[in-house]
Amino acid sequence: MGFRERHGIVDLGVGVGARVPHYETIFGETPAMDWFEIISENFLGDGGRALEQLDKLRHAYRVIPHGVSLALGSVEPPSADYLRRLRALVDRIAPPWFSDHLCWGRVDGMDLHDLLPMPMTQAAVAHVADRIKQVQDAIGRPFALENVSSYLTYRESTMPEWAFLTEVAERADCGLLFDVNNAYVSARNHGFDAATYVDYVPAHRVVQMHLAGHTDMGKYILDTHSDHVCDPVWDLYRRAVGRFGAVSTLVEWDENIPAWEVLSQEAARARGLRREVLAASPATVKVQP
Amino acid sequence: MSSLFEIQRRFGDAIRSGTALTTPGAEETQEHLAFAATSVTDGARLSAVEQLDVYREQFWFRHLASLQEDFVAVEHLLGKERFQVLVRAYLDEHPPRHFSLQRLGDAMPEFVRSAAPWSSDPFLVDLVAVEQAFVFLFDAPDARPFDPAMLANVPEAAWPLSTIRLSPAFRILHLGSEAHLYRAAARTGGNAEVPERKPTHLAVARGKTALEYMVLGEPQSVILEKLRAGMPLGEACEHTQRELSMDAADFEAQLGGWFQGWTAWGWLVGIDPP
Ligand SMILES: [Fe+2]
Repeated sequence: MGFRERHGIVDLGVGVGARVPHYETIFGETPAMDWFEIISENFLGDGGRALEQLDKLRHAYRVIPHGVSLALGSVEPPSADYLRRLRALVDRIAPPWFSDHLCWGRVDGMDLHDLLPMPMTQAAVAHVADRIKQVQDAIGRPFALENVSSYLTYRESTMPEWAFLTEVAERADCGLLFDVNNAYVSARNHGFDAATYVDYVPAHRVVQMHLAGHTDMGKYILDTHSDHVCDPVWDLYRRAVGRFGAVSTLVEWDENIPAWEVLSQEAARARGLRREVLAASPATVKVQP
Repeated sequence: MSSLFEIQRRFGDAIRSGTALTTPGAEETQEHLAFAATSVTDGARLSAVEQLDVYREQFWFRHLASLQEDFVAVEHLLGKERFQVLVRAYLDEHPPRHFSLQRLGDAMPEFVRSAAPWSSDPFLVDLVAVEQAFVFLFDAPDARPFDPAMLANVPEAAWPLSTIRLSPAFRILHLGSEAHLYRAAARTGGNAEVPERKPTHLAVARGKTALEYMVLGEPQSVILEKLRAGMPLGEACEHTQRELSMDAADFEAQLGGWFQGWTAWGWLVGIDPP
């Protein structure tokens, strides 16, 4: 039985990241949207308005927490305090899964607040897989691991990124959050074919996808979440839907945040494209009503 | 020490560098260049050093942006360039240690109080304290609203020996100027002028809908600090009155009003009889 089936994970449709500039629209008008993703770290405080707003949001919509600070690849483990807070947040929301990234970001007691790249080695696979198992135990819900955008490769690496991501997920027995834009950014930066990536990862583990825009810096592409999804990423998404089937999809937009209508349109575009691909490929799972 | 740890430690050192790794001949980056040479692959588009420098730039931009958001008025006061000098010095001394960027500026008040040249500008020290207090309040713990029934349950005779609980989302700042006025003006695009020196006791609290502040007279500020420190009510009154040489009747006459205010504003959240 595949990962999704084993954990009863269903398709939530196409959602967007919940961001403060849209709160007025979201809470005032309760616009149609399949679901929302929140950045977990924005809701790990002791009190204040953030938690009140989260409660409002989750009573009106399905909400999935997405973290940026587990730093699973860091040798230094996440603090007990962080895990306790994350557990409390996840318990509050009771989501079908929670997610974070395949990266590191903590060293020498510092939190560098970035999704830093891992050397892709067997030792790193073993380290991250163990860490994921510990985290899944501590949080008590299925975990989805996201591939990151990267700008650097290590001499030590012994396997391509898709093999690394897959081996970690298999060994940890976790789900995947396949970020289509990140796969594209890394492919462009490191000169590999993103289609190979999509074709390789175990489809049954993919519980969610991300779509986002990026910035072309000339010599490299930076994952900024500051723009529309670009055409090659839409093409890659098409391929991903064809392979993974009806998988919950989320549009991330974190900088130069546009009006709600623009963001909502971007989600609608993904929804339409998904419907098209699924209608043309009868073998894949149909979208849940 | 595992090789993974070694990589992470050296990577972390490199991206906290204040000097671009691509600066030719910079003495202070030699160690980072050596790390890039031994651990990072040269790419078709970016050299090993350039790849590492992408992360160094991101480290700087992300943390600068976070502190710019927290210290709008301080940046207004110092100007863009000097503010960046302050942020660089601060990050060198206090690298980020908390998962939340919200906590990045926690040590900033202490830093400007003690580090040259910042410590010699008393208004800067005040302004940093005010802006940091507001950041702290943003997600400080909630307290259950005060239940007036609690008051009724305390017998008259027990009042002097009772201790008072203050909201965790409440602070008093003892400033040398009305720095909060400058903060407000700088944040709303108003005409921000450095105010005259004048001892100011500023209460800041998270109210029901917004972060609020209020200038307190000295007696209120003194007694609230004593109550926060856990001194029983009777003793706190007595000490405050004596320290400020206040007339006893005068003091008592005001106490009831203060108490009502503290309760209404949500500063006072509980009373513990002896
Ligand atoms: Fe993502």
